[in-house]
Amino acid sequence: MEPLTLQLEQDFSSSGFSRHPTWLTELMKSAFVSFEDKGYPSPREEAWRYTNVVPMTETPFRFVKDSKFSGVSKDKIKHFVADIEGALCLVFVNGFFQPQLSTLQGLPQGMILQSMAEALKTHSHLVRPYLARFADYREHPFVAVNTAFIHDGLFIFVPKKTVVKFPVHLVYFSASEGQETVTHPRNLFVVEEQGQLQLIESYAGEGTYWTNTVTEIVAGSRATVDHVRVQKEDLKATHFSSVFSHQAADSHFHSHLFSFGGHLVRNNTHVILGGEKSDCLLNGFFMGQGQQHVDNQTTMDHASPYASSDEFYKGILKDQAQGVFNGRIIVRPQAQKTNARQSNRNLLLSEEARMNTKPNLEIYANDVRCSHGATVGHIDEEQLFYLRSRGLDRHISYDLLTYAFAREIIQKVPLEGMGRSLECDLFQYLHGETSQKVPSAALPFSRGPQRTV
Amino acid sequence: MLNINNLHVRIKDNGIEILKGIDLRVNPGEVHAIMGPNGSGKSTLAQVLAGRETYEVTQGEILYEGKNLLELSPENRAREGIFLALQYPVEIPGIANSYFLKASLNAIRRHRGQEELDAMDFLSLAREKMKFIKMDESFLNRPVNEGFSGGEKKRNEILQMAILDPKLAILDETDSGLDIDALKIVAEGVNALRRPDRAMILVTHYQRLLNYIVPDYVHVLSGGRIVKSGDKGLALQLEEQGYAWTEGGV
Repeated sequence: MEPLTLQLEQDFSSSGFSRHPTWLTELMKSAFVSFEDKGYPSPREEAWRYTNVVPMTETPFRFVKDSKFSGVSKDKIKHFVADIEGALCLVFVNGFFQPQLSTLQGLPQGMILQSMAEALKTHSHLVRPYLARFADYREHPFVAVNTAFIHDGLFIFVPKKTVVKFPVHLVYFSASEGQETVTHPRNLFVVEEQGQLQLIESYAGEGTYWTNTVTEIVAGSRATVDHVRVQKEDLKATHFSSVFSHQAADSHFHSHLFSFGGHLVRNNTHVILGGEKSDCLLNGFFMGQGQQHVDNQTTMDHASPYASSDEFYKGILKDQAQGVFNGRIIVRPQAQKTNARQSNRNLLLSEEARMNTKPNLEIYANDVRCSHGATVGHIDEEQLFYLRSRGLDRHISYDLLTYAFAREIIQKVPLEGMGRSLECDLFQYLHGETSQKVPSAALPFSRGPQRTV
Repeated sequence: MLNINNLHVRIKDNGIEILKGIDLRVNPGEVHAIMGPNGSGKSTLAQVLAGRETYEVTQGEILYEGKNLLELSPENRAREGIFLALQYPVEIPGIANSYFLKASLNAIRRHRGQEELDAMDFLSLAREKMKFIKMDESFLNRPVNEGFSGGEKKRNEILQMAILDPKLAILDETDSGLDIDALKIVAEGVNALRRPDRAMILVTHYQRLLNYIVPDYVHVLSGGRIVKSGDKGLALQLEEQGYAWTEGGV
């Protein structure tokens, strides 16, 4: 048996279910059984064709239950917090909520914002109807593992007609402290009818560890949810993240994914357009360098008529990095008048970088508009010549075109302050300076050419 | 200013020879028109002058202000004062026109030993030049050429020329795709940029542009060679008799 499986079994059997309500214990057990039955995904499965998990199963990532951590200061965390005015910041270290590192004030009346550990004790009745409802652990083995180890994360409940004015910023920081550890953050965000919520989830850390996170988002009718994921894990880390969302009628869900770090990365986004006229934007940018492997899976499930979805994913790969995009659009028989667009464009900055892109449309309705396109290419020689013919150095022109490629995605992020922070991240990762803040003068767009000169 | 001697050029990828011995001399203050049928090599000549690397010079030389131009990279040619207005200006989403123009201008100014312009000084310079070619200021904040109409793209090229202040400007089919009003505006802009110390090469298929920008010399390029040279009268003759007339003379 794989070392990882042994470790998971050992950790699971010593999880101590006694503190949980019965329904949760049943859920966790059922998820673990499902994982054991199914085992690890094989490259023969379409969704795992280009990502081999066998090497990672050699590492017995340990699940650490106590939340006593030294050495993670507010200063260290600050580096991973985007400068967004008024944002509530919730910090998790090795998977556990750290109130002393977090800022929490000014919640609107009726809104519930709690660590998952806390919510399972005090608001179990609100958590239960939604937890694991859309994140299907029978389909996804690593979602099953996460579900089996549900312990902490964030729970937000936004009641009817409540507009949350401040973005909520979650920072998950892992410090592996000499041993290889795993965290299973579990987030649940429920936004009721006409509610509005903006979220940022950031992942970072130090050392060799595995983040296996699952977020479920439930948007009620006419609700609006903006969700930004920023992945800046250690370049030795393994990062698996899954977001599952379900939308009721006339709701808006805009998801922005930025994947920079990690050695082995899998970003999964699964959207169910469950109500008429709901709309979804999936905006994604990923970058890989060195030996990084970055896999992006998206599913856009049109389950209702008159819904629309827009999907833009872009990737930049350097060195020997490998990228995967597998974008699935399902249009159910009842989902007439669906409007779905998908595009995946990739820029390779070396000869050795590899990209596998696969748009995948399954259309069962007859009155729909669907389009998709995928490209893999190098820096455009005509654009390069154009910039050089105006006096710009070859390498500056090259960098500018690389930024410009990514910037199209960054510009779609609505939160003020977030765009600038992402431009800094892009600069750092492109130039291999991941350990310090970039002086703003070094950034080609620091003065915001879109706004002023 | 520019001396082209026996220039032979082929396409790097397939080895097809496009230019088969071009001789051309351009002095400061002169405006030369290069005309010719499709495929005669007009655009190739323009691109080679700007340093396009898809072409390979197999024979001959280009001297620019006494220097061997072929040894200079495209960016150094631009800094030395060569400007090519492209037939098909490239769209660059994600880079604002203003950022591009300011970076270009400052790269050229650094090379000339001039101080770089700050944002405010650049903005007032850009505003002045935009007014002069009747271009709306909003174009500064838009991504380079993205979503511009054909006429707007060409005008953007002339704006770049006005800002970058070249010594030798090469305009490749600047008239193509323009309606008569847009053509007049572009031509007025170009005429205003004529100066005793600046030379221009107009590459064009049609005589039409030359009604508005009157050249000092006209050359007819055919089959990779200059087959006729003359004054502006030559352009009119071409208009009447077509290119077949010049080919007959070879």
